[in-house]
Amino acid sequence: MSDVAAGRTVNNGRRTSRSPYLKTSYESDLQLFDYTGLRVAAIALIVAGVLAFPALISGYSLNILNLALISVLGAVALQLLTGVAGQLSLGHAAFLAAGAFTGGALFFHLHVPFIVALIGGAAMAGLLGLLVAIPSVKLKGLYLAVTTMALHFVVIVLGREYQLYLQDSFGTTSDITLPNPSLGAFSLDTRLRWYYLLVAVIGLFLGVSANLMRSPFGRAWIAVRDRDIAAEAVGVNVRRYKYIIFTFSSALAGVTGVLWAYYIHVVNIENYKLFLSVKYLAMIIIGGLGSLLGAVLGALFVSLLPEVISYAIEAMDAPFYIANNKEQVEVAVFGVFIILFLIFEPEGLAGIWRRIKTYFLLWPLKYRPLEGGRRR
Amino acid sequence: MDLRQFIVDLLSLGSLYALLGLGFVVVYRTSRVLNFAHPGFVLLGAYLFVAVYRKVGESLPVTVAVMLALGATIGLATYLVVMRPMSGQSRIATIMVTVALLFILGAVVQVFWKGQTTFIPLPGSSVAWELAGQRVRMHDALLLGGATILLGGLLIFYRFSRLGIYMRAVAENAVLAARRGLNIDRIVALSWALAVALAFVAGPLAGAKAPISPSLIGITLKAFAVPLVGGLDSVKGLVPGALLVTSAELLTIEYFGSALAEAAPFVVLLVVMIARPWGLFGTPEELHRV
Repeated sequence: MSDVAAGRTVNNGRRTSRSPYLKTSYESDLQLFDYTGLRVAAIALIVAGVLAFPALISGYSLNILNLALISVLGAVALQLLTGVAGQLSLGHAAFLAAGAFTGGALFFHLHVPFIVALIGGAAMAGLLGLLVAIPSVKLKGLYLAVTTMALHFVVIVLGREYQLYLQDSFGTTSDITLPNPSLGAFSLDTRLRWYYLLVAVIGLFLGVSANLMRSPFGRAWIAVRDRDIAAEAVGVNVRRYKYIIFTFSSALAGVTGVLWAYYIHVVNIENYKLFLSVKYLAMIIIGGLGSLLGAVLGALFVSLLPEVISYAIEAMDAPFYIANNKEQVEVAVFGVFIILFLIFEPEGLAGIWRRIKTYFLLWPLKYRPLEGGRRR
Repeated sequence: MDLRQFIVDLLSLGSLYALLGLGFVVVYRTSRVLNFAHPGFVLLGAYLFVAVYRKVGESLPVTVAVMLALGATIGLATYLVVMRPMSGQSRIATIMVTVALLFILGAVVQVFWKGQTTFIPLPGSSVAWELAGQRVRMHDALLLGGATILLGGLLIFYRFSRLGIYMRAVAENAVLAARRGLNIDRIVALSWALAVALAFVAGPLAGAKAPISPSLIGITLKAFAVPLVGGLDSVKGLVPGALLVTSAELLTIEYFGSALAEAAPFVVLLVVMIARPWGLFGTPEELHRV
């Protein structure tokens, strides 16, 4: 401990305990998390809870949860692109579709194993991302949004053409059907196994993304998001970092697409409407732009919202014209939530969490005490 | 390929796209907001037109007047409830709000009209003329006439009328305009009223081409490419934009089939975005003001 190096003693010269606000070695500065006892215990508790959770819920709920977890993956990918690097993209559904179609096509034509489909889907989606990045480096904000939207429609048309081609040449139905995938000996034929796989993949994605955000890449992306001209002036190669983030984010989206396709056993272009892109954008906006926790919270919120609405409609014994139009009510409530969050809670769920955390951290004080003050 | 038929199709479909794109320009010209909810208003306007028409005893002029009033009211309400609370927030947030509004409108229309297909009772539904050896339906002429009147009217409005100039001033620098004594709140509210009223007129006119169904949202999204190509803050840019996008689509239908033609407006959009992001007649600084 080198508090002594500060030249002052605190607490009347007695040995101080390590303050959580001070980093006193390079090692501790490089750590991803604070490994104090309480923190580690909390993390262990959460991990145990996550692993044991499926035992508490029904099979139907586990299915919904798995779909929510898949959308967490997609949301993290979009968060890196839009929340961290500031590249507003309405083309997320197109990248998911690219991954899914590549994985599906590889399986259909070449009968490749699951891992190869995953890698192929990621590669193709990443390539598409790079292609999209080429016109996009010149554009910002709404022009970028519109360009990605246009690209979405182009990809959808191409997907439809491919499906027609499959129908004509191979006599299949309009979608590709996928069987249960297997990773070596581990076959993914139950929802529980999918759950554990998804939790593992999410852990991996989040770990990689959190590390990236602390690295020069992350700092460059944040600089590009906030003030790209100043970033260029300071020496950040804005172009290069835009290419990198588009490729990386769409590759992650491609993996999500393949996972989703294999989970629902179907590859069909009708699953990838513009509304899906908007849904993912809503996830990161509701969760909080720029934070990984926000992506997770937002994705869970948006994915579980339809279920909550259905349940509420039934429980409240709603008038028949609401009950008969459940889908529309879901969409409408979803839209209302986006608007409410944007008007009243622009920092999203992560912002709410931050405020709760700060409140408890500083309790009973409302504000942090001054430096050198008597407390602590 | 029949050139004269092509020209007629080009002019009528182009007029429709220009009319639909006009709503985006009106909102953008005053508040620099890309109104993704416009397709929703167009669809709502089309369905409401039929309902109002029946209610007022099948009289067209009364229906048009009622629709304009309704549109202005709904536009005003949208501004007060949704857009004004969002002022001061980032452009991304405002765009997302309009997207959310689009989905709410789509859901509302679906609940009340259940995706049915309706015919708009426009005059001259089976009237056609012979012009220079080419058969021209009255509906096509109606579209062209409507587009000319509305676009021309708005051009004059923005260039010569007080309110039009005020709107352009608010868009360019709202704070400065306020310092000069303009009531920004009122002007932006009026622009939204104008935009939705226009949507409520353009929607029914779309019935001249085909019966109204929820696919009108998709058509309006295609028309979205028109103001982007022509310049989001330019009314006169709508004309070359519409001609470009429509000819691309018609030529694609002719030579590549109608499935690929769905993507044609977006391909044109992409090309223009790469070459000249602010459109053919848009003001260049827009790119950096985002």
